[in-house]
Amino acid sequence: MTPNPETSGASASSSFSYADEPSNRWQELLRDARAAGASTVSVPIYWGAHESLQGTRDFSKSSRLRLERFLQIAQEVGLDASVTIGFPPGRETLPAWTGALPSKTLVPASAADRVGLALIPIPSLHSPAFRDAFFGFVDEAFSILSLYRKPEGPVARVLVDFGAYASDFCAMESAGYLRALQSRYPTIQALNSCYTTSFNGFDAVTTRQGLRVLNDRRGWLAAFDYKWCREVALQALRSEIAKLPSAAPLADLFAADESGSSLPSTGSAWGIAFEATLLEVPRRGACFPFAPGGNITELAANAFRLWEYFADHAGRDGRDLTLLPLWRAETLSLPPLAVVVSGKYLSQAAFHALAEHLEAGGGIFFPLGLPQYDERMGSHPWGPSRDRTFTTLAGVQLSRFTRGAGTVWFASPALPFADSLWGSVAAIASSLGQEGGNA
Amino acid sequence: MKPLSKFFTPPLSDDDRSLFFRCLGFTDMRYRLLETCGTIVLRAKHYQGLEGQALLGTVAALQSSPEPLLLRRHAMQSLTEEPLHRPPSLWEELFPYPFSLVGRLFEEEPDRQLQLTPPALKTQLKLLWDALQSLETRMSETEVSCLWLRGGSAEAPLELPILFHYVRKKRIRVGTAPSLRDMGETYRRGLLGDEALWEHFGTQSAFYYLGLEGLSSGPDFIPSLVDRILRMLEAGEKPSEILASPALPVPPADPAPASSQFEL
Repeated sequence: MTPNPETSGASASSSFSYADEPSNRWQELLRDARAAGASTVSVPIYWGAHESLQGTRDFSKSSRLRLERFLQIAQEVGLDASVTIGFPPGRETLPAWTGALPSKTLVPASAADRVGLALIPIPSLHSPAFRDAFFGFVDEAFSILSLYRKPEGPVARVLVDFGAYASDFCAMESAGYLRALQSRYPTIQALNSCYTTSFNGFDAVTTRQGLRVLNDRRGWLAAFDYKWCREVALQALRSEIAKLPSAAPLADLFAADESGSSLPSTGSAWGIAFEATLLEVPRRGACFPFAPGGNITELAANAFRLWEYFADHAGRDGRDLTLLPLWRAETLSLPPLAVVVSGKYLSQAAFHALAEHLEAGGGIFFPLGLPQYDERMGSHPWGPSRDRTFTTLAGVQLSRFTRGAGTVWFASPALPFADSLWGSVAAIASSLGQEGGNA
Repeated sequence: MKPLSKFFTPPLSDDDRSLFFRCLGFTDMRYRLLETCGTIVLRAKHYQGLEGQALLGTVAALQSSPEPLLLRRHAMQSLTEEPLHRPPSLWEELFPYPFSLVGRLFEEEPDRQLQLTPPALKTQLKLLWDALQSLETRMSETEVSCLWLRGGSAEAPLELPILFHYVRKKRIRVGTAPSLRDMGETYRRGLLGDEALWEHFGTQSAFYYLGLEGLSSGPDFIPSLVDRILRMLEAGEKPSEILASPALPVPPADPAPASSQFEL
């Protein structure tokens, strides 16, 4: 039983993997959690534990896998159960026999609880054999859970967690990805126009080779499109799972994936906001360079090096480090002066979040130049160029303009990619932070 | 996670591995890590002990430093694939990343993407690898082995108990748990004999005490560390002679350590 760091206070919850605990201790451990103030217990249901033999699902024979018994105890103790099904991280996430399935995908090591810059092959979520078996398991688990939903039972919430598959680097080989790409670009000509390519059809784009071409042409846009299509494909799969007949009694309990990555603000005058399209950020792991199909570009490698560089320095100096949003509209909790690390591109969602920051009177400093384009390849109108003024700080030429109640500064030319970068950024940001404070 | 049995412990965490690294005395070791994909630099970091600092310099600048360099070369534009269930060596199990990578240089099939310079350091670390292999061979003779490390300084001692579980000499699990810390105390009071170990783990088990205080911090640091490990292993038959070494801490001698205990 481990406390959940995401919750505290009155609605505290604990996570409890019943398959990892001796069943004769379930009651004692759950009582302890209740006595410690928990009202909800987060419960992962591991496919690898319940179906260690292909086609033989065990929910009642092994004492550690008696899901119904566990739910009964949770109810007796007075705890709600928030159940996670799918691929929650753990040693029994995947049944061992799925390793013998021929179709593989690649995920970053950090998504598979490993360290280092390596890719780990795991069974492909999109192979029919894997998918059918997984749906069969989920179907049976749902039929049990539906008997124990609130108010008759303790099940208050059902979360479908795709785990490492949320960082799948071969998602382009799935039908869902193809459909998502077709919904993003109505015609192949529209895609060719954006990428300056000459594909004859979408089928050729959704291969490793096709993706490599897109990456070489417009690396940032290819990464954005890939992540967007992968997310849409996973959402479609989530909907399919929720539409299983056995899921009907649980329909109102399905919860959205809450994978927040922002850290609490340190309250400092300035901090870093990082544009992370070219990074892969597994929910529970460290950042990883974006490498669809296992291929990596210099652009993605540089983004990753910059990330590590800024993360190291921000950590040492106690500065906030925030990831800018990709496609979901999010209001960010940015420090008064946000140092935005990005290239030429920013997503519309990021532009929107930064515009809100400026409207609220905040400041933004772009040390690597002013971003110009979004995912539609539209040029961003930051404002009339005649409104810009110039100044020099710490030996760096800066352009300055106002937007709403806030101010934007950007280095022109961009600060060089060198070990002295943090020193320059910190000197300028400290001066600008003071200026902002005085204003 | 609570234990399923007395020798089921949570796996080592990153913090545990860091503590292992510090217990062994690698706190001041400086080196650089460079990972490349063809001509692309993926990761360049300077390490002092556990503290890493990302570098943005060019490959030439990174390679020109006099500090030891751990170089990992991935294929052109393509990251290395590793199997999901790759059994880690003892070195990888115990050391924190990226120092854990060094162990791959010494495996039966060495990782040809890795290179460590200067060669003298590689030679010294190979001796440490061999010493850990010998330790593992000894530990695998019992189903459960508890390695109790004590390092750091007299003012700031560091302690880490590590539990190893073997089945037919194959390492199944490595972990640690707060409950093991009591065993160190019991051992120091001279009360940890075969019987107490059997009672605690309910199986054939052994306890190893590796005291690493006062190790040389100069160029002889790694050889002296290797020496301590090997002497601990050699002491299996005659621990009293080793305990009499004047440079080493002397735990209670009475009652005499049982045959399953080894101490430096």
